[in-house]
Amino acid sequence: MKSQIKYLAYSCTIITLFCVLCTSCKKWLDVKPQDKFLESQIYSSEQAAVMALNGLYLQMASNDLYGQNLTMGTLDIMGQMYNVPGTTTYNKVANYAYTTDEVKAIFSAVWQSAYVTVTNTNDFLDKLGTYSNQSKIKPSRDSLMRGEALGIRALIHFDMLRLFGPMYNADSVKPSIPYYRKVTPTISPLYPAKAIIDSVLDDLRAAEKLLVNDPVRQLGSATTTASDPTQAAWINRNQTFNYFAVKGLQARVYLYRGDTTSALQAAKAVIAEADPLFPWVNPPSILNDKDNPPRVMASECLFALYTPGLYTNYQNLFAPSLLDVNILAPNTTRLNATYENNTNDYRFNPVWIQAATSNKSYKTFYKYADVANSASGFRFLQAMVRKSEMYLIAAECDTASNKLNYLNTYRYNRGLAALPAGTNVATELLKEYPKEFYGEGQVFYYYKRLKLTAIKNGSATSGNVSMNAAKYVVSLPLAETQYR
Amino acid sequence: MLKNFSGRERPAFTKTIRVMRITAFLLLVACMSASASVRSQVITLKTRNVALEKVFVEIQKQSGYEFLYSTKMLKEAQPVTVDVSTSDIDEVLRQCFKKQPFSYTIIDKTIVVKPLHDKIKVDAPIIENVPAVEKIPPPIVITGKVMDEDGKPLQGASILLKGTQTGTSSNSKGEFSLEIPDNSSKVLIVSFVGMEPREINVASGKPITVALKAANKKADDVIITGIVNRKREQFTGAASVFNGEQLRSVNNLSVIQAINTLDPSFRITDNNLTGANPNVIPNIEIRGTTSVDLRTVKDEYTTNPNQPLFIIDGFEVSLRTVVDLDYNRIETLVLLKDAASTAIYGAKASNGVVVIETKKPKAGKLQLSYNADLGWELPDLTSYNMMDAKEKLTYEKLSGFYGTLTDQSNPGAGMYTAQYSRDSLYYARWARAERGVNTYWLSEPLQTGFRQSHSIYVSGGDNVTRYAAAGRYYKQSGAMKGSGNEGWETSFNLNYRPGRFNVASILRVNGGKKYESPYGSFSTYVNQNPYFTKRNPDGSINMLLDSVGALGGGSEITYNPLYNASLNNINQKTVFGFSENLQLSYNIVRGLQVSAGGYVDKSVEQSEIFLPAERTEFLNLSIYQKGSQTTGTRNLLNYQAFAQANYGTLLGGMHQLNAILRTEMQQSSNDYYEATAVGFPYGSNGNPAFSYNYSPNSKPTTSSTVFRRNSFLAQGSYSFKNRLIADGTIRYDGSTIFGSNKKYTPFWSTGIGWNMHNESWLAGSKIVNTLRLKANIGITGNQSFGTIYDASVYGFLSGLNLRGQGVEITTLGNHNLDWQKTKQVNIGADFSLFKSRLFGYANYFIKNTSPLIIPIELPASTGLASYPVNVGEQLSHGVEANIRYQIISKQRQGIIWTVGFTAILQKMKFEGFKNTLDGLNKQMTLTNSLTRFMDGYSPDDLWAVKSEGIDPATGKEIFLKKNGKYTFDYDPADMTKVGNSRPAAEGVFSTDLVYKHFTVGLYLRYVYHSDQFNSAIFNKVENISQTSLLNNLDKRALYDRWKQPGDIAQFKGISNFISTPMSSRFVQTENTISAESFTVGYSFQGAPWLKKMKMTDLHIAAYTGQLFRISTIKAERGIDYPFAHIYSLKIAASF
Repeated sequence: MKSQIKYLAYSCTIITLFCVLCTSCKKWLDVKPQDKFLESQIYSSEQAAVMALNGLYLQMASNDLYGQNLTMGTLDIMGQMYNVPGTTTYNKVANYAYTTDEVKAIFSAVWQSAYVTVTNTNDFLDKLGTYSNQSKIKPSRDSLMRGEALGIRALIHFDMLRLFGPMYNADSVKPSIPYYRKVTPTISPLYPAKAIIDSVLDDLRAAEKLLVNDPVRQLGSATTTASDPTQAAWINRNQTFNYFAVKGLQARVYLYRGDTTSALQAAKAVIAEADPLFPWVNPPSILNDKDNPPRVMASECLFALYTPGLYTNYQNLFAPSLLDVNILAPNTTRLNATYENNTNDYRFNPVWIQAATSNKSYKTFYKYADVANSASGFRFLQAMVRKSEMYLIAAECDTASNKLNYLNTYRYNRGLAALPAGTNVATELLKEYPKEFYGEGQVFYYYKRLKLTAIKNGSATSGNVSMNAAKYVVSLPLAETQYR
Repeated sequence: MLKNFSGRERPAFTKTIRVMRITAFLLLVACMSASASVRSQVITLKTRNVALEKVFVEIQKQSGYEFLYSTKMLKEAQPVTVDVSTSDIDEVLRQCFKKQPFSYTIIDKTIVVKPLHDKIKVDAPIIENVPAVEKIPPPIVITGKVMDEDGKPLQGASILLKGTQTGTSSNSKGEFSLEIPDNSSKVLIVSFVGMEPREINVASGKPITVALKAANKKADDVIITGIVNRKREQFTGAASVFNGEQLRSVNNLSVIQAINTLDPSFRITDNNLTGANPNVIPNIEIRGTTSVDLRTVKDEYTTNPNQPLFIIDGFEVSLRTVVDLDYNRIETLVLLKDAASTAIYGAKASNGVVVIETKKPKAGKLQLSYNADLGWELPDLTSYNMMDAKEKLTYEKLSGFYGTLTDQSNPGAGMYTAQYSRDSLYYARWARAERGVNTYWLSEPLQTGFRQSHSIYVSGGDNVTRYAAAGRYYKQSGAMKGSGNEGWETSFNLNYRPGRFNVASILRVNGGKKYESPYGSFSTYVNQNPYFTKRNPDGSINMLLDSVGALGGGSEITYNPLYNASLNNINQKTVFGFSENLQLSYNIVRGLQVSAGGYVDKSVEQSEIFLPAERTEFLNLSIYQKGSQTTGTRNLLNYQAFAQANYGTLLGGMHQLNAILRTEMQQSSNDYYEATAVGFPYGSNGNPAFSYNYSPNSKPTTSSTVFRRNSFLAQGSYSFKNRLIADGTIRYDGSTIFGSNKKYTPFWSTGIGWNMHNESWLAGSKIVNTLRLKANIGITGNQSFGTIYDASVYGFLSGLNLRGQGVEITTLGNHNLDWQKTKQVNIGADFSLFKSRLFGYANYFIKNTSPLIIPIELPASTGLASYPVNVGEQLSHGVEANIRYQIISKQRQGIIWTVGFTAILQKMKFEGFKNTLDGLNKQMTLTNSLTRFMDGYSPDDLWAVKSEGIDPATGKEIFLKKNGKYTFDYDPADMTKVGNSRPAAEGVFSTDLVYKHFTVGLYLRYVYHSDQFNSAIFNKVENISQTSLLNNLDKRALYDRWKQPGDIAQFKGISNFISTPMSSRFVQTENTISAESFTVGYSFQGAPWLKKMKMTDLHIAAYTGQLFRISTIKAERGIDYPFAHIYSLKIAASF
């Protein structure tokens, strides 16, 4: 009996030791996923945190958002930029048939991707704070990163408002869209458009403060190749939501709200400081360089999004080899009218070409065609905020005498002759928006802001499409409303 | 135990092994007698000082008699000097034993050698330090007689003095006499093969008479929990034990199906989509569900949150492993159902546990057995009710498919042109039908499936080293052409037990291939119109069946499904795996054992899906994208290890204490890689070398998961004189499934029981043989949710920019999630009454899960999809019973007729959701799901709007609003509970008859009152759209739909194409009787010709599965793959 107890004690000790060994290995249960990263890994170093920030840009560059739908695709079809008759794939979008399943699916994808990006942005801002002690990110870098994230949050909310929100000052008190400032399963109410604009401006103000020391204020849009890969995030600042993007977006937002004074102030601030940093396109290169024409005019972009799918999208949407059913191309008559048959326009001949090798009887859109030199700094860039927009805003908002100055400076840099005094600037602006923003998604918003009741029908050689709130305001997707 | 030396003319027992138990000894006496052949001849012995053992060999050689003795005993043997020549064996032996300290007994053809004072001393296998038998005080002699229940004497029964190795065996009259020391205990243990042992107090010294009862459920007495073997007498949990023979008497093809038949709480939930597809693993639940299953993809890698845990030989395995396991290797299968039995598995126990023990090698001469299992599967199409050519055309005409001149969509002159073409189409088709074209498409992808499985099992060894090897080859073709599998499996068991050590190893290597049918979904053929011809007269297949201008413009193209099926499609999966199970144990002292073990399981799966470029889905793609080949590789690696100490003791002769301390750890990883190549030339064989490139703009799909857990377990049980029992379990579990805040959580159970039959006032009862009442309560967990992280997890985005790659959140961390725990209560009784002729069990159980983990749906703007939260609880309670009665019980004549009845009645409901799941409910409404998450309602409730039938005046459906008013307008807000899909009662009636070597069994499943949504009516009778009209439809769409005012019809107007919402009209109550299994078997054991063929047994059995099914509703079963009737045959031979 005694020996029994002895052995019992022995084996209990062994088992207990084994247990202790296992419990002490509580770390053993801390499994790090092999194909993924935990937040502690992401926010432990500046380099990894940059990956999280860069994720926001890549999400924005997806086809659901600025890669296609919010720029060259859906939004421009809604702006009647292309000829999409009933026989083509995109006709339902051009007819604003928001209740059909195809169109519902598009806007559901836009909405979901936009808010997933917002969620990622909020998570990024939140984690940057949580891990600030461990991450050893330089304070200067930290504020740049926060500034960019806040700017992105403002941009996406603003574009969701422009798309799903009301025609602005008509009914800016009605519930429009939610605004999220943190990651939470608690549902945000639908705020009135006015409140959304307030929030957007709040975020932009905060971003402006954080980005005050943005290197973009020295570097401008100059493209440099980083010899040190860890520095990549701090050069080529025109490809991030930089200081000027914030200011430019401010101008756009103020104007959307109808606050021309503030809009002008912001636009002027950008023009004053950014003009030399973001040089106008060089005429010889766009007109004569057949191999590497800078068609996107990226040097003028205050913020351009690097879109990895850009040339694939070109192949799928604009390439002359596409069938008529699938191609996005304008009616030739309409196109010529848009550019007022002015072949001197830098944006006309270099961008609109009737390919010799194709059987197309019309010009197709080459803005997003790839160029020969794969090292060109402007490859893959998709314009988000242009310097020229600041000139257009200033021309719209400034006092009568200055309006024309801005417009003519802009025209000069597009190869167009100066307009005489007494020109109706508003009429000219209406002509310029489609020319300037082809494939950039801004035209529909411009029409919506002006509340035009008739816009030129892109799918016919003549005549208008009559517009109303039902067409300008996209209804919230089911994925949002059904769970509210 | 005895070793057999072959290479001689006949088997000879020449050596006894050190370790021997008396019971086994005697058992062998009884068994082995059969193997010695009769030979009567003169024995001539002439020896001088020869060792006794050698003399035995010689006698054995000459006479055919065999000797049984212990080597240790023979150490005392004297050399033999004899000279004898006689045919009288007794005379020979008398001579040889003259000077020996031994006596002998001849039982049949075996000579049992015993020490002279008729007392058998046997080494204990475990206990080395038992004090040698001390000087014996004057012994007392106990005499008695051993009989069976009918009073017939039992020869060879073992009589052992309790707590010692002193014992003897009964003679041919059943009599025995045993000297026992006066100072010893006075309790004898009397046992006999196939009988229940009894303990008899012989303190009085008077002669005794012992009647032994047949042990009809021998395996049942021990409950193998996978961690420890518990005696049922001392177990408070609810567990069902089946031995391999029992399982294999139900069917010979699927162990899962056999448990489904035998145990009421084990339920295979019918998969109406996959039918009898041999490569689909079943969905299983024990005692209902505990979790909300919102999986959209239900394959074997997305864990079913209601699936029980599977244990083979002590380690956790996947359901796939169980399905692929050689059925003939299963020795015992135990179902653990409640908290007291499953709490030892803590965090994974809530859905019950299935514990399988495979056959372990047995000592003795080399044994070989061979099993052939053959099966035929005949597709069961009785549930289909499709139109023939003329019916379909009549239907199309009536529905307005061929237009009417009043058609407003195309007014004007064009109207007549359009109508002309429609009319031409109709009459062309009708003419074809008149010519006799009436194609039966359903049979086209089907065949009689055939499967065969051959397995060989060899085992042998002595008491120290034992080995077994098993091999199996199987090949199966399913009921759909081209589907099936083939594979092989080998396993090697090695058991080494020198002294107090025991080492056991099981190595299993297996491989195989699984094929899916190139014909695709069976529904494609069901939907095909009978007025099309499948083949040209020369047997060739046209790609296009039909292309007609549709009424609304465009054209409707119908491809011949046989065209795609006739191409060189590949859809297969190759599997290779091995596992090693190694366990060591060491008996430190009597009653105290430590053990440890490890398990490694590695498998690799390669899947390949090749769609040739010629397929119709590639018609409109460029040649760079025609054809696709997807290759996937999955690597699974699983390690497990445990260390354990068991302690058991009997204190004061009445307090039995048992305790276990155990710790476990496990790691399993699952890596997957998949890539797709496209752009194949016509006629290629699917080798990716022929492809043009990878699928454009895609990247390989990969996933990699690692799961770890560890646990600590303490279990104790106490039994007072085997009358009152109590046990308790605590398990502390850690797992990577839950966030780091809650990595560990405890689980527990406790139970009490009362063996009433062991109480003195029931001991001699003629009525009650066994009656045990027990109750237990405990809390267990469920981990089948996939990993839930408390920190956010990020994954790479597909693109890249100048700053490099980017990451996005893939899983948002959730700090506040609690483990899903299930509280279980079980109150039950095991009984055996009227000479054990009526026996069985009944249990009442409660299974409440709280809190549930449910992925809730939030507005898209939150950026969170399917966010898991703790919400509400699921309450469940029910009754299960398994009762059997032996109508005829004539064991002596070998006639036993038993009837059985099992049943489970269970109710479940949700509570505590409040409004949290409104989002989910809305989604359910939108996706036409019948399930709702509402407090007070069951997960099995079916939700729809109440229907009052079809209005005879208009042919429209009348709905009942919540306020009791009638309406034509469908409103989802009027949805109420219209039924419950869980049967009110379900179970099996069984009857089996054993008549000598002949057995017959019949198992009839009944399902009482289960509400089902009849999708055949919903989709093929009523809810027919302009597009689905092109499919062949149920006959009822023609005959039972409303046609003109005044028709009292079950279904709405025949030309009404407006989609029909789900209403109670499609919910039907189902009562079913199905012949789950019918078996006939015959064993040739004892037939003289077997011996000539050197066989010990030959067993042949024939089975049918799903012979018939009678249901009160007519609904299509087996949508993608039909169900099948199964006929099978088993041939089992042992050598």
